[in-house]
Amino acid sequence: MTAVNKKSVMIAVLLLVLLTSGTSLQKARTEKAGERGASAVGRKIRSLNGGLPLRAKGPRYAPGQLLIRFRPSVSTQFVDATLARYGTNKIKKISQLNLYQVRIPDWTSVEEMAYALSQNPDVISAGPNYAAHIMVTPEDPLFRYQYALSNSGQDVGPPGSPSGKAKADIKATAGWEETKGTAETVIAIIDSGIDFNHPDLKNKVISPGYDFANDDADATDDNGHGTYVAGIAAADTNNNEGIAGVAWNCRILPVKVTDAEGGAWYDDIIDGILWAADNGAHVINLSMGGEESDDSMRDALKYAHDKGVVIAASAGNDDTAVFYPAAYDDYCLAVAATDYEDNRAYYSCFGPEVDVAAPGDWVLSTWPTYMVDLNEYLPYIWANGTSASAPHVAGLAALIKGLKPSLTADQVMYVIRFSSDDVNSEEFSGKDDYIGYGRINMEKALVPIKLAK
Amino acid sequence: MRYRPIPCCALSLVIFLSLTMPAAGQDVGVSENSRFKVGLGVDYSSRGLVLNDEEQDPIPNMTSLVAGLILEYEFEPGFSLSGHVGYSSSSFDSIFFRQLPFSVEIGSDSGSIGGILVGAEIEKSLLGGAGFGVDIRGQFFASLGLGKEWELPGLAVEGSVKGTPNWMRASAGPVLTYHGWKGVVPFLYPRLDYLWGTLEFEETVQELKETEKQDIKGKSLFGLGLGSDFELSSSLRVRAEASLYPREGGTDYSFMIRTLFAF
Repeated sequence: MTAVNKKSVMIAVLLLVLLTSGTSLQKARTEKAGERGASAVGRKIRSLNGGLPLRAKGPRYAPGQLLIRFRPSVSTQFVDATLARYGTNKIKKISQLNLYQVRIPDWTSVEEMAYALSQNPDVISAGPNYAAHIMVTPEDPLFRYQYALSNSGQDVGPPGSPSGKAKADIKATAGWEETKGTAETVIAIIDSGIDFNHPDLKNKVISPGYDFANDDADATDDNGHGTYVAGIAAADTNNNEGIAGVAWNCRILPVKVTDAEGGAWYDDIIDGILWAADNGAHVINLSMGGEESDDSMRDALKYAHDKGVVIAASAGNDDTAVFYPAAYDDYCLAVAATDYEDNRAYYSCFGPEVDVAAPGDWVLSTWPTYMVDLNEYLPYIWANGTSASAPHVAGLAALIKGLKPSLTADQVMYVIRFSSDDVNSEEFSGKDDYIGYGRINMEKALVPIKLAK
Repeated sequence: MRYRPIPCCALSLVIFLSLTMPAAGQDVGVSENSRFKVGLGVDYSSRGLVLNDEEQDPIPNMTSLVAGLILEYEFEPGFSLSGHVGYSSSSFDSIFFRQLPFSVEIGSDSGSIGGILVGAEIEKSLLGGAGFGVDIRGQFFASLGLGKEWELPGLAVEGSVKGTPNWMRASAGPVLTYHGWKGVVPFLYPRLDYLWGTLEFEETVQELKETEKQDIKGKSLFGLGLGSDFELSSSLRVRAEASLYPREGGTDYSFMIRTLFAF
């Protein structure tokens, strides 16, 4: 991605709203700070996006690159010879799928080379290395002042935000009566990494993870999105600090696949999915997506799914067809967004692939400590988008996996679908293209059903 | 279903004693007075359970009501073998199935599950006279559940769960009798009493299909029955018995009444 493109992506996705103090969380933090005699009294919580979901922008695929998948029977030597014959240079090999990321010569286009290679009988597929983007991106610091201006004591967020409707929630407290999850259950957050020192996450991360974007073993979040998503799924809970995660006791495996602007190439996402599946993940959250389908992406999902991993993916924020990988219906749950009144969020992508919905508007979660001035702000943030919806589902999937380890990934997916509340039944009865089976319900998914005569 | 050594050994002992020892006051061998009796019996019991060999809190419970036909063959006075066939109705309380895709709880509001009852009982007098006597008695009953289906409410799609209990009860022990009263023979029946079986639930919610089976076992291994045989006429006998089964945290109980007609 060129610097100009990266910049345009960044500008497109960084929509900020200034958030202010006044919530109970803020109040609690303020009181706590006061008790300690700290100078942080009055720290605020910021918000991302100003109520606007983030949308995929930027190039559709990596310029000059192809993802080529050879038949399993084709040897490495033969592949190398074939790639050389076409004038391509190997960048990376993903062994599990016999998939090669290559750079093509300057004298041809991605489309032409993809077509030429796809005619080769030893090649299963050849196509662009498509781009995906996270659904929510970090804030622009300039907007922090606007947060302060909207500080009027609203219910669902900072002052100025709208009021919610009672019971338009995922029934988490009832679900926690049955289980708060187990430390053995691991949720892989395939995203922009994580803030390993965040007070609400530092005790939940099981390993340094891996950074496929930079090909090193340091999955430190340089964007914020991954930290935000991880907090929704499994923030440290009941610790007198910050927020509660859906899966109280489950742990987090950070897998970084995006750059600092929140852009990711499909090859890194594929690598991340395969690595997470091979490194102990029981659940994968993918709060990201791209517009293009890709067989290798699908097969990576299948690989994880066949290993029993439950995958939750954001449907997308463009009010269009469901993004990939969420659209791979057989292998992951496509999660749409609802708001604080159980209405479908206007931006939420739709289509028959949508399985369930979860709250996506004004969702408060963790934010990297090094991306805020801790003297002034708490490391938490409000944001909107299906990126916030998917980790609710991932958290629920982790709770189910911990409670019922014998269930297959398919079974867990069905439980989540069938336990959902059809909150738009007046308009669309039964499963529909907008919120699928409905907004998830942790109580129905977890708490034993009393059998009556 | 797992092999249960205690009831098998106890029953084997009763059968062995019945076949090898002479009946009290009778010659060894089959009596010329052998005859058939038929009757009806009703048995109600409430038993605390252990599930999968793990203690639960609250203690799960099984209540059963069985009613059946009895065919008794008396080899000789004081030595009889009877067969039982009938219907059983079992209800359960505080039992959870948490490995099903959707966990379910069967409780006091869940109703009862029908089943077919089969059983056998052997009884022989070992010592006796005008006063006290000693018999031995062995019993085995099995309830083969017919299954009951419940709808699963509140889900986005239709679903149901079917529960099928299969349980067995074996008991054996001496029966202390008193023959001093005309037409009434009170007895005390201390016994080893073993209840075991399985409770299987099959859940179906569209593509979701899963089965969970739990082993059930009576929490008490010992029972003490107090009852009496009433000889209402030369061809009609009524037996009534109440039993207690002490266990940790409480006492289980059962009641039984039977009538037998000789022909």
